Amino acid sequence: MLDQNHAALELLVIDNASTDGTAEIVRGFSSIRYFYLEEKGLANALNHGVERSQDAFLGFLDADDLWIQNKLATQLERFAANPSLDMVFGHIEQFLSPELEGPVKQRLRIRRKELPGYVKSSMLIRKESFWRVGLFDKSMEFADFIDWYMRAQEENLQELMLPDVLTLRRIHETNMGYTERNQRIDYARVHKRSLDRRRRLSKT
Amino acid sequence: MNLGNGNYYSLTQSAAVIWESIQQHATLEHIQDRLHMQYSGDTGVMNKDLTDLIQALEAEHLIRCQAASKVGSQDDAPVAEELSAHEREAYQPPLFERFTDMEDLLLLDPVHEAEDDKGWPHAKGSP
Repeated sequence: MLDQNHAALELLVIDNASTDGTAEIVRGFSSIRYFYLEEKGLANALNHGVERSQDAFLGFLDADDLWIQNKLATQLERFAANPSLDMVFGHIEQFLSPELEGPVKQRLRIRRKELPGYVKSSMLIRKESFWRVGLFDKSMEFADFIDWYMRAQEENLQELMLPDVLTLRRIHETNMGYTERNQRIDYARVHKRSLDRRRRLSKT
Repeated sequence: MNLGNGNYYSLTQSAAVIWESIQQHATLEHIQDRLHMQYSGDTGVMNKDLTDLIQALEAEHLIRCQAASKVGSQDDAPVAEELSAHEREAYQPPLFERFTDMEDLLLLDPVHEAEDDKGWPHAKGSP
């Protein structure tokens, strides 16, 4: 994030009870606002950051992914060119984490290296548009973004998917999606809830 | 949901009843009986709608049909109580919808390690 060639950056780090020395590292950067959360949960941590941010745009970066140097600048250009846009995504490039070896590496398959990045890490969104959809649902352990994105679609948010790779997505053994089979139950819940909302809407 | 292709589906009206029976490994005849018992209406239309729905579900790789003798579940499937004519609801044809708008998100995860011939939820490596 600090490598972004876009200068004015409000940077919040939400430390969700991590044990990897995050606090020590962050202390070295005076530009970072640091928050420590004892209560676990990804959606909770994301919401914490959203509520405390002051900038007009929101971007998210999970602990394991990377932004390309010109990500924010590229996306902000598109917002400037088209004021009706609510959110701008970019492609992601998936890479196997370099520390992987042996059987683990064999097991992890990357089906497509580069693909449209419908993920939080690739999104930049106007804050006022974000609030039209609302916070991430804390009851979602795995499908937080899928749930949020479905709600964004129901709100008819205007999006743009840029063909440029803007985010590098690390594939490793602890990708939440990979390790937690329960995510499928979350996925099904998310889709059911969205269908129910749409059915209710179509009835009224 | 089909995590292999990113589609998700909605089954409403009598399709919900039919899906419930499918989950219980009911035979085609059993599902026909259930529809005839639960709904008032033309049984010929119900049977035709049922066959069409089964074909549509199979085409989407959501179910696989087997010969009844191989399933042997007819005895296990709970038999619905027969409702008297005035208790039956008016027949509503099965409604099956397919949605593809979440494909890009659902196919993103490197999690889809399901074996091709089994499909979800038999993840690779799981017993």
